[in-house]
Amino acid sequence: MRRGFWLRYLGRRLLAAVLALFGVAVIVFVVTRLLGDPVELILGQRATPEQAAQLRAQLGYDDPLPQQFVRYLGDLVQGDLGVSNYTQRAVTDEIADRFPATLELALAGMFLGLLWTIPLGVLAAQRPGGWVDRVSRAIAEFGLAIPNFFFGLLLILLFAYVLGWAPAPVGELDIGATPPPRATGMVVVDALLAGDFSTFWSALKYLALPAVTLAVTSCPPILALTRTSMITALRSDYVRSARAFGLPQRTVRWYALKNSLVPVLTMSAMTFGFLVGNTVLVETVFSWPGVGLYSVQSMQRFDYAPVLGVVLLGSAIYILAYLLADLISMAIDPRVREGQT
Amino acid sequence: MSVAQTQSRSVLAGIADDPLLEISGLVVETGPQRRPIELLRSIELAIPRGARVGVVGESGSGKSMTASAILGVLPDGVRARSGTIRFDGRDLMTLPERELRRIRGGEISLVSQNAVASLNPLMTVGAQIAKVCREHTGVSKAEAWARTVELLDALGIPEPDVRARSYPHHFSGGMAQRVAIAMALICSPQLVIADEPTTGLDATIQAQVLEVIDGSVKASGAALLLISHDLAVVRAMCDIVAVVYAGSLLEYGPADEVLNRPLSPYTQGLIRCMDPPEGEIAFIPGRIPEPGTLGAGCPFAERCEQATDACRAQQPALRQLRPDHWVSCHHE
Amino acid sequence: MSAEPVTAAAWTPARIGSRLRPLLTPYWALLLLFALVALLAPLIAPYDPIQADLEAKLLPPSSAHLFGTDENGMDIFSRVLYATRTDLVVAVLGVALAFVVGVPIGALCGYLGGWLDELFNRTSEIVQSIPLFLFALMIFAALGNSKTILVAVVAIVNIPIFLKLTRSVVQPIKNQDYIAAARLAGQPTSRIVLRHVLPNTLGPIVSQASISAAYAIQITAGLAFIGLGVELPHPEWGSMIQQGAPLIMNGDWWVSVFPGLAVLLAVVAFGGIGRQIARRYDR
Repeated sequence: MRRGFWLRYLGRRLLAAVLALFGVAVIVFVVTRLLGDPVELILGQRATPEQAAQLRAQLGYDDPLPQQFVRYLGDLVQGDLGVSNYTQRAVTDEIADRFPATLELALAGMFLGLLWTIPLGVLAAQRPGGWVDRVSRAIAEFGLAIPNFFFGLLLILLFAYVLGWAPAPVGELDIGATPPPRATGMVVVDALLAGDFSTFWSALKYLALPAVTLAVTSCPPILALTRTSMITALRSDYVRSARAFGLPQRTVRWYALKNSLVPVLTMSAMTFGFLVGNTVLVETVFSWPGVGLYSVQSMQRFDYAPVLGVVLLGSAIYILAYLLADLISMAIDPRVREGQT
Repeated sequence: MSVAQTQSRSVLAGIADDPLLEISGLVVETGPQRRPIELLRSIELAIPRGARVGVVGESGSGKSMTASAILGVLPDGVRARSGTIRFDGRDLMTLPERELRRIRGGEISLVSQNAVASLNPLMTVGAQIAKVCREHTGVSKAEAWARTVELLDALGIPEPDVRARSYPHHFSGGMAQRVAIAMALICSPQLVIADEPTTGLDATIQAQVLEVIDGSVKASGAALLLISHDLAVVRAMCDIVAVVYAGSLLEYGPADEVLNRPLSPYTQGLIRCMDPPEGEIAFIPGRIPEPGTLGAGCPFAERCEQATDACRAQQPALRQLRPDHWVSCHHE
Repeated sequence: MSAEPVTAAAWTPARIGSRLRPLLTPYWALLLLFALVALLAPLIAPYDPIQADLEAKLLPPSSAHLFGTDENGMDIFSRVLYATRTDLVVAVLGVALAFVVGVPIGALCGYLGGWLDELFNRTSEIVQSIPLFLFALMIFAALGNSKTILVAVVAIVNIPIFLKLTRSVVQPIKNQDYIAAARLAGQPTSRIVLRHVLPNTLGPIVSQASISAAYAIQITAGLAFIGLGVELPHPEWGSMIQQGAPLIMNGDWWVSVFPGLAVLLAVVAFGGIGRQIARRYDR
């Protein structure tokens, strides 16, 4: 019975996710076909009226809207995101080439983010109002307030220019360096898999600053939530009870932390989803060859199909991240699990 | 024994040879150091080995605070300023934290009011109880689990091996309390403190839970400190009764003595409330004073029909007016 | 929030005065400073912000040029001052627009419930599933690159936020007695919402407005950084930061740093005020 229950729940949530994605596709359609001129989107603003009319007929933009919409959905379902005006390659391929870089950056940023926010949040909760608490909250406020691209620039100024510890922001590797054989598309991972340690180390150095930028500017909410959840947990009846039964400090702290984990991990999943879609500015600053930079470059080239493709991809990942967050809270908290029946 | 040691014996110690627990002159306060708010004003208590002592008083009288003080788990910002708590000959107030942790759960354990809330919601009840067992006895996981299931069974929980794998929120009312009692008894402590164990439960369940406590504590030979605002519960369960009001002990003695021949006007009032004369609803007018608002006199003076100026001026000392029966009152 | 219901008529001078007293924090001072700079930029700025002077290219900060000069020899201090107008106006306008659209709709949704509520709620959720900057890129792609579109983007992005917030604040109130009394007295829905419901929910909404303004400034600067919404050579913090970005590795730090600090301080000011208001209503 439990297996069946899980499958049904998963099915329901996946359906909800698909519907949400469908909604996003509708919005993209509305914005580009109804509000904008799709032909202009493809040809750019330098098209002549004749070219426009010809392309319009050719691509079926003269057809009634419902028909266009069905065709559009059909293309999407088959993974056809159109063709890049600039390279004439399928947008899907262009995005697939670049997505691993964004994923690598987001994962690294998330990892560093959790590394600094969760321990600080736990420490701050143990002595609210103490100096750890105040300092960490100041850092969190700063991280949220400063624009991420500006913070990235400051890091470059300090660590690349002044100290020379980090390389210049030219992307994932030195200009002219040979990338490792492509396995996952993530340079750091691929270098490791190929046993190429000098490239691995170099790639890591290039990854450092942009990852830190993301970690500091996107993760402060996790710090606040960890702190609040831990404070609530530490004041709870079961923690007092655990102490009253003579359980050691570390066990008591673990009880409190495990109970804080549900909201914290849920927010972390959502932050990750947010990160992946919002690497645009950071990738631009560091010339990081991911989909964010690609969408900006495409905008500058008036090549709009890739932009729409990235929009759909980013939304899909965001929606999936929410789903993941739900699954996490179900896995950890038995009360959530049973609330579903 | 040195002078200091004799002086730290509770005046109530005479009730038995070598009581298991003695509290003498315990003062618990909160607030700023310079102008503290007293929550417990020089509490006295004695619990003979294997006895059942009931601490009764209105909500806010400091009963639960006494339990927390004994275990050394006072809430943040609350501290025990002075006094001694002698358990099995050792002063708990002076023991290092390490020692105290061994005693908590191992030799003195606690059954809280809201059982479900006092259990970790993310662990199965069996795992939690077994953990306490292993922490204090060092036995293997398997052995601890076996003991847990056995104890749950003895306490009347059906299908104990299945229920042990359930989570706290699966248990309701009476069953949850049995789980809490199991956790308290798993290490065979010498003293079990039950803090309002039946408050909030349905009347029928209350009786069941009391029976379970009664039977299991008797079987284990432990002493019981039962804290309740319900005099009827205390009357049903306890051999010795202590009446507490606004952080002070007002009366103490064998249940039969205190309940049938009460010396303190407060106790008299409580008994009247419990068993009002035919057709009347009895109550004690006024309400318990907030901590920090008390003067130097008897805490009950405001609400006492027999209060005199002497009562308001000075807190009466605890005197043994009858054999084994102490009271804090200026009147006879 | 105070326990008694507030009606629009209860905004007496005394009440307004008591609300104004906590305005003496550094955040408000900072905000005032920015407002003054925005208003008085032409009077304070020592140089014409779009006056190029190729003799004075890339000068570091000095007494003549407080914040140095950029690649075109333009005085950065003056440009930062003038840019205050642009960024602040765009952010405030965008948020105001979102407020005016999102709050009434949210209030109606929260008050009426039903299919209207479902519709707007779902739509908001879906719009919010699209990552912010990608959404902005899409709008610019479809509708062109101009400052108007920039304000529109800021507004569109914030409408769901105000909608959901207002809705969640209104829902618990709609069942209260004084609302029922108004309904029984035959008052039309719009009047009930405007005069009775909204005044009691303003606290969290105003707080959100301030916080949204803070994020709006970040968004504006970010979009300008990638070339959207700006009209060069018009001074705007984000585009100024972008101009200075390639120069960082040459050591010409001042071109990016000063406008960046301006953004940071503006965000801190608005954000701090928003949180302060929120704390008052959390009691």
